[in-house]
Amino acid sequence: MTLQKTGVVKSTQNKGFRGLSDNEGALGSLFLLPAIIYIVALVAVPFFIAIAFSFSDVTVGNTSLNYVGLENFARVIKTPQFKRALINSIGFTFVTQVIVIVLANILAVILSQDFRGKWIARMLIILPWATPISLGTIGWLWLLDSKFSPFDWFLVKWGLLGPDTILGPGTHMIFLGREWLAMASVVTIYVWRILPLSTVILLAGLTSINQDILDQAEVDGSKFFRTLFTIKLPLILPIMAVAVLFGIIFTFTDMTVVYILTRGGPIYYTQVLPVWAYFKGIDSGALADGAAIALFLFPVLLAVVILMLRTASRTEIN
Amino acid sequence: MAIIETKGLKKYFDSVKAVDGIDLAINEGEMLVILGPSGCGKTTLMRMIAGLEKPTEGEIYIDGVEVTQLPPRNRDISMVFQSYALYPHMTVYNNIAFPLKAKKLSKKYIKEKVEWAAKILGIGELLERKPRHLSGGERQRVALCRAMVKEPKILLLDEPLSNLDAKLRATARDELQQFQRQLGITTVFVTHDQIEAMGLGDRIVVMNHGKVRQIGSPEEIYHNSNDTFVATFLGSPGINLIERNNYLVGFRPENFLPREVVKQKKGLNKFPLRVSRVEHLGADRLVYGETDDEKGVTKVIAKLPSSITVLVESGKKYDFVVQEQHMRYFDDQSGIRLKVKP
Repeated sequence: MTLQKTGVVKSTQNKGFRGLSDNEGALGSLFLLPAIIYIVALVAVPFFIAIAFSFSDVTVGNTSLNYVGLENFARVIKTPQFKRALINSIGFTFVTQVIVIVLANILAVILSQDFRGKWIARMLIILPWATPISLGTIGWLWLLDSKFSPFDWFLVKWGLLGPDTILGPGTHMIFLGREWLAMASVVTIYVWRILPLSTVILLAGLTSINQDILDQAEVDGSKFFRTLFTIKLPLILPIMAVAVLFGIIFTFTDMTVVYILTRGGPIYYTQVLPVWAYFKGIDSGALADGAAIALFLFPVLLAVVILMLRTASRTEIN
Repeated sequence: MAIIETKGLKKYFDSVKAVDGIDLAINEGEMLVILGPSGCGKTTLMRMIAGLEKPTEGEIYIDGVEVTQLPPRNRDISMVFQSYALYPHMTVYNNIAFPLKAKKLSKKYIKEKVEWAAKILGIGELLERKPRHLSGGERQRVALCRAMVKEPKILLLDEPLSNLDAKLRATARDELQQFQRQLGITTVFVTHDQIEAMGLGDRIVVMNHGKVRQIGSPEEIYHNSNDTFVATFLGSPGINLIERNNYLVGFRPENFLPREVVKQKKGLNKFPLRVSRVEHLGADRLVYGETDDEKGVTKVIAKLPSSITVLVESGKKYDFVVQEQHMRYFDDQSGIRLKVKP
């Protein structure tokens, strides 16, 4: 009797909650709410503030917003630092993606084969992606140090660097102090950083190819490279596109690598848009200029996002 | 002369004996059907002949040459998979041309060959289409076309009709047989569908648990099944088995008839049948019931063609008979058929 009573009381208490859990419409909105709050507060609002700033004369010292039209854009575009940052951002991203897609394909094909110690190889390859990017870059900063770089030591030892050698006569490469070497260093670290992600995406694509198709190719007399270039790669093309688009976003918007490694130097030869926007807007307090520079990232990112969504909706894995 | 021969062929996946010692000789130009329930090892056997699977033990010979360790491309075979495995990103033309391109033949020759093959299978109109725009039947033809275009010695077909709907399957079966006869190509056809097997096979290999249970013509394996597995696997429904003292009596449902239908007086085996259910299937009636004997009650089924109009009702008891020539006897331990009546 007592038990029964408790049961009855319990069920009435739960009624409000049960009512909600049966109401799909209300429940759906409730589950969506955190996502909506997140997007509005952390994406939409800052984005519109950035647009407002870029058309105003706001600085860290003077927070009143006065409309100045395209003045900020016109001013930042004229500076050589901006021009170089824009070219670098696009150039670094492009070169990085070309190198990454070639290497990622090679790695993914190797890792999709059966061999002993495969899981160790897979783990090692994913490791740079799991390392915090700032720590990874600091590691590279030491590796490329102007005095203590181990690369210098190897080059000297192998007779490539030093008096009377190809790279001589000095005994230091000064990787980060010379224009082209500094740019190459930045690209190298971008590649090192993006490669694991692209490899894993391509690997997933390769393993998703129907085994029947590969068996059929074998029966049809196709050898390794024909199967790779006429069947496997064309089939994972949409997935490759996703990998490239991800790579573009990560490289194009990254500021950690350049900020830690070269701070845009030597002079401003390795400057990129995010770092330049940060230096202008935050370090020098010219919020309006910083916002204007950062907005130049927007068209590229918009294009990438549109392409990505289109590829995603078209992708069909057989 | 046998064009394919397997000797003591075995394939173990860890402890699972997928194929467990198979000796097979396939004659040139014949259509050999490998029939068995799913998981009996028939597909594994075919994949070993194709070279997609390395045998654990045993040898395979094609045209007198040992090919056990050779990759598929050196075996002069073609295969059609159950899924057809068309290359989804290629047009029908490029799909069919693929085996020829892999052989690095000239473009002109490839074009001639593809058009020749497409004409035989009546898919000349489809050459520029992508596989996803084809119907099931069209895909099957494209797959067949791609398999024959390099004119292999042997064509291997892995349940190529099971993805088609029932109506299409009958016509596809007919086309397949005509096609095979026309080319005279040695064909190995794997299926779990006995109607396909009986309809298509010059000879049928019945497999179970990785072993061959019987090889023979469709009539042979149906009427003179080697053992109770083959006898019950074939026919729908399968053979009726009744236990006697130390052997089993078997007779097919279509040979199990009401007493009054059979004119013959002598050599009849009587079985009183208590009918529990009658199914009307249009062309015939299935009569489910029980028969008693010294060992107890056994469930049996009779299949009466619609030409037999005798009234049979559930809940009543009738005298059913089987003519002696339709009786089969099996050992009750091993299930192997006994040649003489015990």
